[in-house]
Amino acid sequence: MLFVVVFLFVMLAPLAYMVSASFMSQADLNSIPPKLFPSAPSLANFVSALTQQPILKYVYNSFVITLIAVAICLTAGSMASYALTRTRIRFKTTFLVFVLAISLLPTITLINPIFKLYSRLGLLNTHLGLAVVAAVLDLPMTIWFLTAVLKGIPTSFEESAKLDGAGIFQIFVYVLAPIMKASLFSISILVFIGAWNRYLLSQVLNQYEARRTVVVGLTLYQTNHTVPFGVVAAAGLITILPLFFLVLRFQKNILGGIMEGGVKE
Amino acid sequence: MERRMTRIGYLMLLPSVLLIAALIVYPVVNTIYQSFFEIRTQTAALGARFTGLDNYVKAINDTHFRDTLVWTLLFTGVSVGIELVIGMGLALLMKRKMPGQGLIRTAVLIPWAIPTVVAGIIWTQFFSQNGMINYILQTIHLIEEPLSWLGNQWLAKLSILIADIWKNTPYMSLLLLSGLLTISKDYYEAAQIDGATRWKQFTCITVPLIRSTMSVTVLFRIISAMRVYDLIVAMTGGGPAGKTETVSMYAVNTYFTYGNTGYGAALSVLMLLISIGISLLFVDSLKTKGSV
Amino acid sequence: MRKHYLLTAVLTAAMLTGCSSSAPEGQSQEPKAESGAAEETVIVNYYGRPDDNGVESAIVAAFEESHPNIKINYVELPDSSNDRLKTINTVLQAGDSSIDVFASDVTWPPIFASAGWVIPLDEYLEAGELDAYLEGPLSAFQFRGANYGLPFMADCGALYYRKDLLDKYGKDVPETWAEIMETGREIAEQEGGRMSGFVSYWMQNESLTCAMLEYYWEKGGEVIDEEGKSVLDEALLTETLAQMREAIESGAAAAGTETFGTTEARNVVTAGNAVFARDWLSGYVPYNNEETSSVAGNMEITSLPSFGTLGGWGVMVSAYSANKEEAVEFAKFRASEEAQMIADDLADITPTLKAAYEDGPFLEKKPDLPKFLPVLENSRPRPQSPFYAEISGIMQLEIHSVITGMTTPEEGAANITQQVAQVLQ
Repeated sequence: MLFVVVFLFVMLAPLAYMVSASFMSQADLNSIPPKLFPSAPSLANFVSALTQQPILKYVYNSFVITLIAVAICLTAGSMASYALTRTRIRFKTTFLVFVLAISLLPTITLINPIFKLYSRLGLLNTHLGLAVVAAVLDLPMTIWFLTAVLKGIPTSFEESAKLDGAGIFQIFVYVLAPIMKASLFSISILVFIGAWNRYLLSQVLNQYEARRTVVVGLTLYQTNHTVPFGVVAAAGLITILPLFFLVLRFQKNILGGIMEGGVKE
Repeated sequence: MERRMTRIGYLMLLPSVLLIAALIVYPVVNTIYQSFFEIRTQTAALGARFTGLDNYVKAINDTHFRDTLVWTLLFTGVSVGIELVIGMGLALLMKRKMPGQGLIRTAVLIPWAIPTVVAGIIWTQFFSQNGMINYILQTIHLIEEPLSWLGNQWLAKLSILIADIWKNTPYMSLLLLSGLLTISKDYYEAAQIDGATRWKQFTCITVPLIRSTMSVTVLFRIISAMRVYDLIVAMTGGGPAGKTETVSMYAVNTYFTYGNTGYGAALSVLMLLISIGISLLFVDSLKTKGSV
Repeated sequence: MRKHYLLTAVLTAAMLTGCSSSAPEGQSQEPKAESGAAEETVIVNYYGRPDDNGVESAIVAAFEESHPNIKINYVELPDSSNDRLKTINTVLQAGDSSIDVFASDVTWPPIFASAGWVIPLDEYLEAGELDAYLEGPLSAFQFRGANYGLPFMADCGALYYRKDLLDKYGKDVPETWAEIMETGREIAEQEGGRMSGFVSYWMQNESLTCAMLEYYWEKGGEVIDEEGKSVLDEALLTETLAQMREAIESGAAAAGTETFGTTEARNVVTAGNAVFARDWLSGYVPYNNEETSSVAGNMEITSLPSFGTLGGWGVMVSAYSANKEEAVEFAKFRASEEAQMIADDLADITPTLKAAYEDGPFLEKKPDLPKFLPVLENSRPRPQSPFYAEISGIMQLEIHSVITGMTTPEEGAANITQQVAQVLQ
């Protein structure tokens, strides 16, 4: 138990420092030796964070983009993994390896071609455009992961549902999804955070303020070689608070009841 | 009936195939194509010149490329290994029913939600000469003189590993937790009746049952670890003396900053080949069906 | 079973149309796009610097007011030169017209000019128009006899010193690098505590190359000749590297200097722990800020021995712009006295116009400006080669290798000489 406490402390120390720094003055932040707590806590950094950049707009953009990305990824990914585990199509392994291999190329090499394509299609500076790229980049992972999960679920449940006349969609929604709830939740969070944190693509594809994402916005506080860390920390907190409550809220619903209803043979 | 199901199967693959084909296939082909040419921003007006395998020969003889590759692989192995162990521990912890479970589950995810830009600044501050870690270690008299965390190549590597493990363990633990949650309690109850120890239960029930989830998790963690970029750029910029520069950093520099598109493409393709090699080790784990 | 078919088909179709049908929708969402405004109005996309205290927005607003037929779409890019380069590079490499005019780092003109991505501005300039600019900042935008940009923000390497400490120990302001380290060490020893003689940021990045060049130039070294070939002097380079390593090893430079970025180094100064500092002009304000610096009022600025590296920003016009005429119009305004006055008013930005250092209005607001003039006049651009970024990459790695004690100055100098020659052959 002690180990757990110590570990959680280490895990949370950087966050704690970030919180503390967001209330510090620049003088506190500059000081040597470093300060653990603000000498005169103030909300000035939060005010600067909100006024220097339209950070809330960026948070909104990030939310819209990542939610679309998660939706695309889950839909396409579930369909593909269902096909790979429950139907007798050929080239399953080839497909999996191909999908994976193609996703292994460093992102930098994707940027130029995708920029040109999007420029032609008018998808630059749109929520959907960036969401689609973000989704596609995490799609291989989603397919692989859901395939692994589906493989682990015995087909016996579906057989009985099939006998009752249920279609694939019903089977997926009423039989498989409840069993996979935790996995679907995890992969959603994974894709969500993956898309949320995508920096280079967001910067290049969504350059305009109206569609800018929050990770790009965070880099704009810096001027003249120095980062006003207090302001960036405050902005960072503003961006992770909604995430925090979202996860706190949903993990109860989705992970909560699952222990009782695990897979039984 | 069967044939119709098969056809439906193909149809269900279609969205994924189309999305990938539209956005990724062309860039990949294009990159492979470029890697056989001498293309430079500086001579863009003159166009590309076919040079065959020259870029690859250059890469193989490029000692800096080899250094970055060795460090990238070392970084990947160590960070993913440790993240797996800690991630498993956390997943087991999060699975247990206890007061504040929801809070713990959420708290564990936090490092991952903190944007890398911010995390990079925090860790740089922690490890810098006059930073938090030296200050704390000196205050509790573990060290006399401040350590040069980011100036000594081994300490710099250690600092980066710590920051990366902190940042990415949540990913590992979340996926492992989701695997753990699909295991029925019945197995453990049966094992308890048979008098199996905790460790025995872990190795004989837990691990085999989540093996395929675990391999996929590890595989994708390996892939993303091999591309590590932002965190290291923020903390050391590749220093000291390029010792913490990864292949992606080198490729990005070559491609963008140096404007050497052809060579950057070749480095990227080599990286792709190595990643495919590693991935092939994991394909089998998907084929063998779990024992459930 | 039919149902499955239908469902899959519908889902697939939905996703596909979702992708394609969004195109027109996306277009209309684009802020300030071609459509909408009156016919004669031209939209110029300006990829500027971060909106420090609203500087860029204010300049854009002033321009739009005096040019009612031109609308500026200001796109903010990060401060980090490399991050900006990735965006601008991608757009221009695609031959895309979405950038008309952009803020450029002083090291970019040779790359962009030789790639054919930017246009020379000479035909748009009136005779004598360039005479208004300081020679140093202007020269950074000159390449192969043409002017590719106009500077709007000056910066360069400078020496900062603790006036109070030099007075206390009766020392003159040093004029050579050797003297700086010597004097610094002497004073630091007598002061004791956490005091160190010198601090700068020598982590492995662009500033490290600048630092090295400033040492190397003092010894009379040159990097490239007129033709752009390497003329590095290995013996001088060896001396340079040895001197930098000595600074670290002897303790003349603050512990950790080789790991410092801007923030860490400036913290050492503002905590009152350094006698000398090599920093950009932009260090002057934070060093002398009453609220955040314990040495405010005592941190004086002067020229570096021999030369300081030229930094700063200017505007260049894309060769792919569909509205070059209007883009140049804005570029000229961005570097004009009016715009620089706005910038100077809102933030601490060093002007690039000669008049600013003699004229009333600038000096009224910033009486310290004349101090910067000799420093700026004493600066020179980094080697103006299209391959500079790569040369600098090689140098950063080798210099850092020497100052962290992994290789000897001889090895470092040999590696640099050989590799740079290879790049520039």
